Amino acid sequence: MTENEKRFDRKRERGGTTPRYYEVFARKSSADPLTHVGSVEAPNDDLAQVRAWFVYDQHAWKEMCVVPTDAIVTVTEHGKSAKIKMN
Amino acid sequence: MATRLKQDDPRELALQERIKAGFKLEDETEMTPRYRDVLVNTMHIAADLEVMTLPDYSPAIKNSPNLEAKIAVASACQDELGHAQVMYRLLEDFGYDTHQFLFEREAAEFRTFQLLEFPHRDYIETVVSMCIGDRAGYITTTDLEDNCSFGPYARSLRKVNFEETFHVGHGERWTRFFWNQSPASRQRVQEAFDFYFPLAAAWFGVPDSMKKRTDQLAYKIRGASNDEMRQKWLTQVVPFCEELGIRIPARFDEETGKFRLDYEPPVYLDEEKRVWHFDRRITWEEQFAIWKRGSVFKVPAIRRLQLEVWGKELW
Repeated sequence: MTENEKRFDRKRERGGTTPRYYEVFARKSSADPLTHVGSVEAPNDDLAQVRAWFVYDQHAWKEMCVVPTDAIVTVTEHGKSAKIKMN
Repeated sequence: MATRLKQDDPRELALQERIKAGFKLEDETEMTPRYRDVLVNTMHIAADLEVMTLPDYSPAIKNSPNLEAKIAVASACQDELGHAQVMYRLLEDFGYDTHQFLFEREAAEFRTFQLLEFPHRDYIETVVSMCIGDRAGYITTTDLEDNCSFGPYARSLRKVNFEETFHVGHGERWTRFFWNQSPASRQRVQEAFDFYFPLAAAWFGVPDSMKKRTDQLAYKIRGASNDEMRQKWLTQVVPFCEELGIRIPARFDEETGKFRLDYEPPVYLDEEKRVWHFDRRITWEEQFAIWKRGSVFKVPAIRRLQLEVWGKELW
């Protein structure tokens, strides 16, 4: 490994071996509904916020939030994981 | 793969029928093995292509002519990285490990296209690439957004395509600027088109007449064929070039009512001199071998990304 080689701390950046996902929601203006815009992988809430802001910066959102994917309880899709995945 | 079903397997045909009727898939459990293969393969290539734009475009952050252009190119790089993230995130649902995939995979195994395998030598090459190359990419990704039968992928491309329009627009504006700036810059624009036009035309792949596998269309992963997308690209590129007076080997054919290339691919490219020999046809086998091998710049460019040996050189 050279001095310049990227060092990647899997525990810090990925929270270990099992990835954790967050769904990203945003609205453009007060009148718009809060909409699912995408998803990011992050080991904690702080990094999830940063990654959501970095990746989904296509608009100057009025409001944006992230929700851990495993916190989502589906109503129409019995027995399956959330299908909102993207947008 | 032992579980792979034949294309004429009743389950495969049933899925194709449902898709033809407008059915959108939302989850892996709804897929047949063959559908899954075709979809994952498509997303895999698209993700690699997004990543491959970074070594191409990042030098332009340094050699951009003014602050506004610098910001635009830096944003474009951030966009492309974001697009890769979106696609890798989707691929993780199919068992991919993004970190492994991005940083630990052999550089030679990245699935890239020849268009992205030559470093831009100045800002003019970057904007010409944005003008015709990003446009080619945009046509393929809008086709996916409009048609892809896998809902999550189609939806995720809304953001991607929204951002790509800025790259194409930036390329067009600055191509116009350099074409009109001076005789020397005009010549550089022409040289950039001479080299990049056939590469961008090849973005859409082999002619339909050669295509053996039509799985992407049968499962409606995408909606338009190679030739249809190439035609759409020509419809935009040829009038743009004609308006400015940029010479390209393509024109509108009055007889067929369609745009067409003046040469019959594949033709020989002198990669070292970056010169096309339109009168020297090569076989498709030779062309596939060239695409598979990649340019001499491909592996070092990806290694650079993987090792992050940017250091002081970046800015």
